[in-house]
Amino acid sequence: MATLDVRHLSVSYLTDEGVALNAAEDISFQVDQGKSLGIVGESGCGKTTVMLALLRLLPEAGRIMEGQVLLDGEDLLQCSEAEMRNLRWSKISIVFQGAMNALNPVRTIESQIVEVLRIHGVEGQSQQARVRAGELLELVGIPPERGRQYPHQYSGGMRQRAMIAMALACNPRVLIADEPTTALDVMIQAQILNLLRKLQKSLNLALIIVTHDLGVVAEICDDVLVMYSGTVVETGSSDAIFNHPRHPYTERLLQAFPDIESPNADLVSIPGNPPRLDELPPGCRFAPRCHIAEERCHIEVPKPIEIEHRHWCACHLYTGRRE
Amino acid sequence: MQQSDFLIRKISFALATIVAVIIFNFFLFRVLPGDPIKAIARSPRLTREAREKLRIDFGLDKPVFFDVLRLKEGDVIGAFDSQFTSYVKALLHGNLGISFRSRRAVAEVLKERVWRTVVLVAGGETLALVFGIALGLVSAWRRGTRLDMTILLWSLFSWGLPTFFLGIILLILARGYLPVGGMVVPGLRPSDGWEYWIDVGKHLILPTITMAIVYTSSYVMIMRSTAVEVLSEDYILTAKAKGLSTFRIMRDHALKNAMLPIVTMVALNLGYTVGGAIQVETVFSWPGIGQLMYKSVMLRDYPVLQGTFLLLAVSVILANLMADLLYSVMDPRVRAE
Amino acid sequence: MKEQLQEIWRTFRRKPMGMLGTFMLFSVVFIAIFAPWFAPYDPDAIIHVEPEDLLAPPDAEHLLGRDDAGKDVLSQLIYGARVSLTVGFVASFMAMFIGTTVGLVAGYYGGRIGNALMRLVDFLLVIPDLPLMLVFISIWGRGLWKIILVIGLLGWTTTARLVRSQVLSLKERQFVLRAKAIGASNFRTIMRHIFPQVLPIILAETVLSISGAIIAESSLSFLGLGDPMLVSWGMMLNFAFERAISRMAWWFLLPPGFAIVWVSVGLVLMGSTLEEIVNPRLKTHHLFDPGRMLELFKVASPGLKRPEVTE
Repeated sequence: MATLDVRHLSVSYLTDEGVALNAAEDISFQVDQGKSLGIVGESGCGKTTVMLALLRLLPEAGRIMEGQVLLDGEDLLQCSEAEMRNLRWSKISIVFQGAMNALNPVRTIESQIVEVLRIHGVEGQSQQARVRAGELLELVGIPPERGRQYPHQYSGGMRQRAMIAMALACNPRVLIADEPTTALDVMIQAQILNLLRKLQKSLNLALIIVTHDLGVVAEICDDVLVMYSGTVVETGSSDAIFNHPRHPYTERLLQAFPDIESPNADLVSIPGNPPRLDELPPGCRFAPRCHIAEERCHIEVPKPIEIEHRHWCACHLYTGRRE
Repeated sequence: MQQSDFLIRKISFALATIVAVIIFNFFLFRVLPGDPIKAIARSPRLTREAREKLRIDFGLDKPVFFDVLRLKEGDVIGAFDSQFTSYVKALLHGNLGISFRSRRAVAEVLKERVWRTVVLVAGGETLALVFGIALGLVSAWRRGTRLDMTILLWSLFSWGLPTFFLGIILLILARGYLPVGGMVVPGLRPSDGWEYWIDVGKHLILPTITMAIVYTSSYVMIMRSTAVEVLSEDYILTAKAKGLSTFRIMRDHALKNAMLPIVTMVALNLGYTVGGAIQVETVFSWPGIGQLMYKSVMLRDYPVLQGTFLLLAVSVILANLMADLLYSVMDPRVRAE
Repeated sequence: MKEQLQEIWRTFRRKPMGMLGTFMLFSVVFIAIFAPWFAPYDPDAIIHVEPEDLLAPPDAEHLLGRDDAGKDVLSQLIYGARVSLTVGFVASFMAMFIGTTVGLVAGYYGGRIGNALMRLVDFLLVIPDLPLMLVFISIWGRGLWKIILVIGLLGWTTTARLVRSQVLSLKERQFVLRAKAIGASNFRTIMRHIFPQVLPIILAETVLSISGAIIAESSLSFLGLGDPMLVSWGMMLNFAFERAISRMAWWFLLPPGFAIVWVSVGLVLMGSTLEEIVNPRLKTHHLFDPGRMLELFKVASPGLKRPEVTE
């Protein structure tokens, strides 16, 4: 059984006038223990929304419309808020994007880790908790003594690592890293990615990496999920997605990234913009920008089809084949 | 840079401001047209001897800042034997002059009255802070609800209410129930012990409540906007993700961050607090520094006015400095600035 | 710039609190301007009074009763509006003008001038307002212009700080750098590019400061430092407090104060609405009630298989 099994999750945002704008529709994926899933898509495609929904941490206007989030078989969407509070961090934790402000500036790093250890009962005594906090910092390559310092005394990369250490404090089953490398130098990016890969292996984590950078995904993810405008367009193993992409959007996305092996190739961009949430097209959301869109694409929403073993694609190119 | 640099900067600024205030204070009373000392010294009602004595007492026979002639002669020390230096020398000895009206030493009068104002201001500010912070937090937490709107409207209303007028309203309302004037019923002495102090306390109620109401509203407003800002920071979302309860988040993460601007605000507001004290003491005839200032204006008792102003200005400057120090202790980011 | 102001007005029009405040303010301004039409009596006219007329309570002929000299309170109240409003408006415009200039210069030029100006601002901010005003007036003498000057010369500091911080953030923006690149003079850059951006927030601040100035004038007058020739609301309260408090003549004591409150609250409503438009504050934060997140949730009944798309 997959550790995390998300089924048909849909999330909307309520406008001031009470209109529900659909930000994520029919999202399904699985993550096994010890495996990593990369969720890729343009900014604003709903990746972070889905992640927040998993933890039920949507902003005030957010509404979960339907779906199931099964963590070791238990549906998180059916829990009470109190149960959810217990599960957060202890079973599933998240490292937010841009750890600049994600840490409380007037408390020491150590105290913020200790807090989580004590709240979830991992360590009862403060002395032991502090020792454990030091161990966690060491795990991510930060000298334990620096735990007594404040966030502003850390560099950006260090803060990110401290966030990771904190996220692992309660030995969660699932760790979500939302844009872990954005806003960091390239050198630091590599460090963070290596760290994540190392930790995933040694702690047998189910890791989810959310990013807009295909390079990151290629580096450390076993599986990939490609999102466009709130929908899953393609999902499969890293190898499958990078070497035989099926969805037109995935193909374009791969083409848009400069390939070091053909430095003189033209940079291809996708004309147009993703649709606004209040102007969603009736059919496939990518149809307006798709170079092989047919009439059917503008009318009917394509459902995900399993074209190969564990390689799904939501495109009418493949729905046709079913008939 | 260290915390010590921050402190040195703030302390030197405070000292410089105090020096500036002293010079300014002197200048104001001696050099402007309508110089009251000179005017009194020229009053025909004084005898010649009295006039001479006054002139010498106030050093009016000396030049104001320094003697140019003596400077040219090379007599540097003598050149600075001026009204200004006499003034500063006297200040350093704690001598603030003699009241025109009561003939008592200004410093003595001030000393007598200071604690009365301190009690009033301290009481009012404390109440205002407690209620202001509490209501502000509640208002921010329940942003947009009717409770929030009510608190907000009431605060806006209080802002438009002059302090002295609120005092008048309370005076009218409470007449007959609470003492409305003075500090104590005539006849009671401190030697009467407990009875005396209780009576003082009763007289203190209305003025303190007036001060408290006025300042609560400004703290509510500040706390409210600060709290909303703090509660929307990323680290609050992190705290939620960590599974902390709302109460824990407020107490362990939000509160400390929200208090920082409050400290700054209290300091900034101190000038207004002093102004409020003057008004409240006048309305309720509370015999503190504020009422003294009012009376000295009415009676044209300039030495008292000058001394009171100096005391008030220096107090506010020092209180601001203390607030800066407190802030540097509370905010670790400042220490390494 | 004109479009920007029109846009602000359009948004403002839809805010009930702001419009209420506007009504509150302008109703008084209107009455003040047309005082002779509204006031039943002329406060300056010499009248013949009987002893029982002194501090007479309200009746049909004197809706707010009479003061300690037998004069009609309502008429004084109406004419008093002229003085209070004039001082309030003029003093705060003066403060705004000084503050904006200082803020623009300090922010744009920076360096030593900027620092020096900000030190001056810090210095003035730390000195308590009312005592300083008291000292000034008591030495200088009483008079309408003296009060206006004193309030105006001490009230510009907040604006200066506000304007300066806005200018600092605007200075590095594209359009300013572009203007300078094509050789626009400093003055031109400031006036054509920076000032229009700062204007909305100055407007909001000005409205709020008018209420501050009116209250400052009333406090000074109440403490006996108002212009003895002109009766403002503060002066009325001064007379009332000194002469009528023992008799509890509420008709003389309360109306001027409530008039001040009416105008101030109106201005505060206007000003904070404007501020909200120009500088929108955050509306939500993270600690809301999480129960609503699932209010639109449709539970798929357990056991019912959803139509899976299969091979």
